[in-house]
Amino acid sequence: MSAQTAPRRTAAILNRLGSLLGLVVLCAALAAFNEQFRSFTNYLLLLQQAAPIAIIAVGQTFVILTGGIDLSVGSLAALTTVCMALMLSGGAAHEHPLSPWIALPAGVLLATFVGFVQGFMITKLKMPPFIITLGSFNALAGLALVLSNGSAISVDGKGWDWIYGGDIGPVIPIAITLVIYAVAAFVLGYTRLGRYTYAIGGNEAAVRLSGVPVDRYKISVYAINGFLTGCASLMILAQNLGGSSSNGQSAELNSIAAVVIGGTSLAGGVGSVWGTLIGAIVLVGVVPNALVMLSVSPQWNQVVTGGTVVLAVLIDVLRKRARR
Amino acid sequence: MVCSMCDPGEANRSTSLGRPERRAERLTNAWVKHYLKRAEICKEGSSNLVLDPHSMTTSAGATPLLAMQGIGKSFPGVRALSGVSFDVRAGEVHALVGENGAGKSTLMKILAGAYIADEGEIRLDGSPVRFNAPEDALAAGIVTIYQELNLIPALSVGENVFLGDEPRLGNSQVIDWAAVHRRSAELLARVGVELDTRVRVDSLGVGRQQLVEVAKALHRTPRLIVMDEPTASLGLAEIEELFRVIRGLRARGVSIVYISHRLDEIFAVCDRVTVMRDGTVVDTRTVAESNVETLVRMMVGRTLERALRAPKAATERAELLRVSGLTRRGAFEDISFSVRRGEIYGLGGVVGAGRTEVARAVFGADRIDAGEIAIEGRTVRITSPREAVRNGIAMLSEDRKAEGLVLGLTVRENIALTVLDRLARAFGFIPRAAERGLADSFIASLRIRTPSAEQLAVNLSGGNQQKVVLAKWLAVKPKLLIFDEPTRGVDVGAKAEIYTLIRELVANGMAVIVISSELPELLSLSDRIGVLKRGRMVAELDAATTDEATILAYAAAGQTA
Repeated sequence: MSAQTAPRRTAAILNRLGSLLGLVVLCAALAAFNEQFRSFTNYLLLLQQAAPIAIIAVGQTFVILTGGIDLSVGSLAALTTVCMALMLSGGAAHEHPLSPWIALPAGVLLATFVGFVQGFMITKLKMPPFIITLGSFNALAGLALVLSNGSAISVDGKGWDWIYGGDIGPVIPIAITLVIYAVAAFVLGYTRLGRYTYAIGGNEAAVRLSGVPVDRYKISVYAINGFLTGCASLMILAQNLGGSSSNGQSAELNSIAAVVIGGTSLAGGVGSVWGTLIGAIVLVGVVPNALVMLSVSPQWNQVVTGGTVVLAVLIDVLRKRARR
Repeated sequence: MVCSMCDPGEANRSTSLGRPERRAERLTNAWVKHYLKRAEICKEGSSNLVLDPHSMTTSAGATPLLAMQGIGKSFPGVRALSGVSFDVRAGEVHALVGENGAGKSTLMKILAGAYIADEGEIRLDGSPVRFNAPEDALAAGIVTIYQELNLIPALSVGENVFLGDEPRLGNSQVIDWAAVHRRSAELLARVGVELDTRVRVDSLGVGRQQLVEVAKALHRTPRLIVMDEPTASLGLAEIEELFRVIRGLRARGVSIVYISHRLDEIFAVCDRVTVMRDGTVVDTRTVAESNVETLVRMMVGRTLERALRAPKAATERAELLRVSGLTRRGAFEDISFSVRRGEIYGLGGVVGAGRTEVARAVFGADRIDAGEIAIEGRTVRITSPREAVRNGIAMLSEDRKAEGLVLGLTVRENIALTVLDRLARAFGFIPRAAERGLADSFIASLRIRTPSAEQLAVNLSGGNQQKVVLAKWLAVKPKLLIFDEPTRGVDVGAKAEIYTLIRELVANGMAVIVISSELPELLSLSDRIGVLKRGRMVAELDAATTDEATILAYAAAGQTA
């Protein structure tokens, strides 16, 4: 490193810390205003709340980094919880309940498979991700509705609901989320799959012409996205103890918003998973929590989260313009 | 431009020089001669305009149309421009030349209002102006035509010309389409083009699109048009057409700033030339008192070493690639040729003759309909670049930015892109040290000028980007390397280096295919040259006994072997 690039590196680090700084300022302001907010337990609860969306947003980050998008993760989460609940409760007639050790992994596998199929259609049949996942968004939600017959299928969380804390506490889902983020960051930063994820988003034609089996890696990315959505569904099921078509509602928009707040470019090729984590914490952790603490009606929730996304992107745009 | 090639006297002289003992001398100077020769002819053709007293003397003393004085601009860590003074007279074509990174683009972006200068002032007709945004420059009559054309492909010619300023029916919001097409046809007529203004822009060739841009610029009644590398993707006939348009604009008093890497063009259409280097102006002088060699010396700041071609040692080396009867419907038909180890095989022909298409088919990027490819005598089926790489074939695309580099990745990541499978350990983990080592060794051996392997590819100059692409391909240790337009958009200094590198590769036994539209380049690099015309191989020539005129005759004039 020459002396010339040193200030640029500092700038890059500051830039990277920008969204973290935003999160800290936001929390500090809320803590100053509200006594309840600044309790340690509240911070834990807030992170626990954010965990499922945060996990889905990891998969969304991979997809968006390749230059794609997935609008179907919310519906897939709903369908997955319904299927898991059906298997756990033994179907509509409660005849053959399956052990959670079979039912839950089977659900995750199912979600992975859906992601794989989407990836296959996007690469081999050359269909645009937006269309495929928009179609899936409707189709999967409909399927969840059909299978659940429009009502929640309740399940017994005994022995596995610790995944969302259960009797142990919010530390578990928080730890799981952090582990997933750490693994994802490692994959993106240090492995072949991660490198190709960035490279494909940056210039797919060049990567293909470099002799890289682009389709195989893109399919992997969509399968990973399905897998992570499956994992998040498991957490959602443990949280609600019921499989329902309303589970995972708006997960697609919230996860995309978390990715965008985290500074990942929707055009692909640029971004990081840690930014996404901050985005998810702000959007589905801090903001809804703060509204409750400040006794604002939950009906305002969507207005405020929507505003947060626009504000975050606006700040980013202004920051980039200042650098010109 | 074709005229220069067909000058009978020049062609004869070249042929007589073709004897072996004179060959080396001829080849080393081939490209300079090429420039000089073309320049001579072009000047002849337009001498009345170049020596027009109006542009040469009368306006010299008067206030220039544009004067930029003491312009300075810094970016974090880089001083892009310092103390630059640049002026353009009314009705003058002013060339701006310099190597990549010399500061031409920055200066022109300041003129276009895209950047704001840190110091210095801009005067228009003698009175100072301030351009804070592109709109300000446009309002002052300064229009820039960028290398990447700013047309909307799916809209019609007329819609593009009037984009943002559509004539309305009366005071309503309804667009007067009749007026759009009538007036855009008028504007196109002023640049001497007659075409249906209702056709979509993407149905036109690049040359025509360029002229649509000029028509669009004319609609703004410009006083100064900046053209950035306008001929980069044009064929010879299209370049001629553009030159005619430029001369016409000049005759009507419009000033033009002409940026180009092709020095011969400057002698063809420009009145004065300003040379930039390292963010400063080296000199401004009239074209009449310059020549290619002095311009090149000013640009690079040193005399250019022109790589001598290595004497051919073993001509009877083993055959590496044999292509027979290769056909891709609509692109090329029945192409057969072979390349030996240690040989450079040139593919010549005009733009659109099918050279790139043949190369892409050999590289597995395009499907073939018939024919066979054999590597070292063994027939292979190559259906993807991945299989080509497995068979030891690599290709440097002509469009480095679209197909060669991932601009947002670092130099290290770009170089390693082809060999991650080899570098990767368990779970696909890429050991950073191995990757760094690979990148650093190529940065050293290819003399890639970059602050470090961690620099983003987008920040490198054209020549160094090309070296990164070369490094990426050398990393797979190919047996056959295909170069499609290896020096496009590369400055003069880096060009010579790339030639040397190619020669080193063949000296070490690699087989190389070179595609080039620059005949001197093709002639001085190749051992044999296959000439394509409309998708067919019309001649295979021994580079030692042929010359530019012969190649051109086959490529353009329709002779068949």
